[in-house]
Amino acid sequence: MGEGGARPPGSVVVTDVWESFKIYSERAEGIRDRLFARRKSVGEEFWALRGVTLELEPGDTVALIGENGSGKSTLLKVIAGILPPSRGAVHTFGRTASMLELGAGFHGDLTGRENVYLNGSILGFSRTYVDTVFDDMVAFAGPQVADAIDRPVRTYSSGMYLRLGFAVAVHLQPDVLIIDEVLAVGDAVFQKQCFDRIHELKRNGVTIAVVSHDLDTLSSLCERGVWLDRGEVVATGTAIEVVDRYRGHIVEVQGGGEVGKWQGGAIYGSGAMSITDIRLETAPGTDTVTTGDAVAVCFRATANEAVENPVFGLIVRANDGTYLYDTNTLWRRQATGDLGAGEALEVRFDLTAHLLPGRYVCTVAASRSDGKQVYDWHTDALGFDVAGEFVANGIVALDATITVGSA
Amino acid sequence: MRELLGARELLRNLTVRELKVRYKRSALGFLWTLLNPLLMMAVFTAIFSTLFKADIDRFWLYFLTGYLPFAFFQASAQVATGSVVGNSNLVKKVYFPRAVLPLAVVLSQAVHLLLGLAVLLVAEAVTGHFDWILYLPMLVVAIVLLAMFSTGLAMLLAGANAFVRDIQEFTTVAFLMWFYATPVIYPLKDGGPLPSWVQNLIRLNPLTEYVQLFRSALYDYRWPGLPTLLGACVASVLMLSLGWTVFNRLAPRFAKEV
Repeated sequence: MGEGGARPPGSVVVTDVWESFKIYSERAEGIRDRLFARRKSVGEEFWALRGVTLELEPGDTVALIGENGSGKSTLLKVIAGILPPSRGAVHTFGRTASMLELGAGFHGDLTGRENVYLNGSILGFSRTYVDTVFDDMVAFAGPQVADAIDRPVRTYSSGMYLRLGFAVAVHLQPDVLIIDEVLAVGDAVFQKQCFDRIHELKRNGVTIAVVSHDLDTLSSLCERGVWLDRGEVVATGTAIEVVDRYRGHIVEVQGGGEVGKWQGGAIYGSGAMSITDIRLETAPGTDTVTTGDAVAVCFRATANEAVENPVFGLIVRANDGTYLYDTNTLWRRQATGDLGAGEALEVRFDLTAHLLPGRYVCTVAASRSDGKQVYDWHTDALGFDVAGEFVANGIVALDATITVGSA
Repeated sequence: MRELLGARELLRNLTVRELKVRYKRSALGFLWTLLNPLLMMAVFTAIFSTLFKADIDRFWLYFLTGYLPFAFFQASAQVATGSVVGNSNLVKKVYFPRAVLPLAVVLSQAVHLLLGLAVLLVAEAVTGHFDWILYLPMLVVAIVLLAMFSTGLAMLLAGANAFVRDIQEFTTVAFLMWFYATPVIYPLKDGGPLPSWVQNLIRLNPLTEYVQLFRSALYDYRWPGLPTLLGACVASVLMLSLGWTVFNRLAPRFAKEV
């Protein structure tokens, strides 16, 4: 088994792995191009991984972090055995399951039950093993899926399809689990269920490698972090450390001023003011938000130098980054007054949560009176879950009243 | 190879998927497995026993004993050609021994072949012929040899097609030519309709050997000549090793190409 010999199941040894792709200016797939144009000009070589070395012990949880095109997904595929490395060596010990796409291999004409067994065997699990977890799996996927388990999956809604795919993937207990950007599926309740299950796998000692753009998720889920940039490992350490360094890098690259850009938790600004104590105030007597409730986003803004009539703003997004609501004191022509160094203001946005159940995130900011210079910007500083009875799907509670009468 | 043994269950499930999916939404479903060759038989029997007055005893049986093995071979190779490319979502997202993709196609076609042959044997029995019982071992040998050859070609085409999609386009015409180069609808004998040099060419076609093996068991009721049997064995082993080697050489690069 190469260097180091046999290791316990769940170990992954990646030694100096390079992975190249050919980029064709115009995809050449015909005999003529293949046979007669085998010159250098046909494809340009692109190295997606450049000498990556990584060792995982059983039970390690590692977050792969980096910008698009940094090689994270390629590295996952190399570990999963889908792409053999162009140079270097990869050894994974024990059973590997990859969740690079939920429900990969589901066939629309087969029933949910048939697909579960098919998918199980694609991931390398026997029928007898799937039998033992089948009921849990279906229960996990929810009552809608359970009712439809003997119907062809082409009749499923996309949500049901993903739930079933996720349920299959997380109930087969591999030694190494590889997850690529598939964590954000379904509503808040289902997401929580998914995370609980992944945490359970983690407690059971499954080695997990994850790629996600959701940095907060990564730092809560993973112990270790690896930052890839253009195919090279630029930093390793604890997930929290690496995520912090990566965030710092993003702020550096993007500078402090590009208002409204989705930055996954970045904090930046000139520092003329500091925002602290960001919190959500819910209706008295509860600590949850239900559709239609009054809520308030509050924070304290302290001036570090003298500022005139600063602007305070709030952006609300859905958990997938959908831009929902953006308002500030400038657009409302609302004066905030002048502050000397050290003076502070209490800012409060009172809102009505016309939102359907799901997770929402708030960004808060303070900027100069003309809005053109950011003093302090906290991307996704605050997340909250809206609960409520499921009567509609989507984001906005438009409060439909349905009247059905005789024509 | 050991990896493939470990994927037995996957192979079985994929084979079942091929079979289920194919007829899932048709009213007659699995009956088509039998209806197709029977309809073909009706068409060719009508043409050859009236139009061309072919001098063949029990033409329907002569036709089916050639057509069933050829149809199995053609469907295996042709469907398998697209099996890697057609499952690109799987190939790109999950690791599993890639050979199961063409193998599942061949196995599912083998189920069709066996059903077809079973009906054929019943038909022979109904028309009062039981001689084939003696030659059943020969039939088994013929099936195994043809399956080996078909698997080899299926793997070769499936692997190559991932890199050169033209193969997919080319197979339709190629198999039409191959069909007419195999004695399914005409006799291969001296004094027949074909000049001897054409006959010699057709004898070079490995499918001719396989069809002759099937016919010796089910139509002529006699043991095949040793050259035919040996020729079929050599062709099977060669094609299977070629397909197997090429496919497994190419397999690691599939995820980048499909």
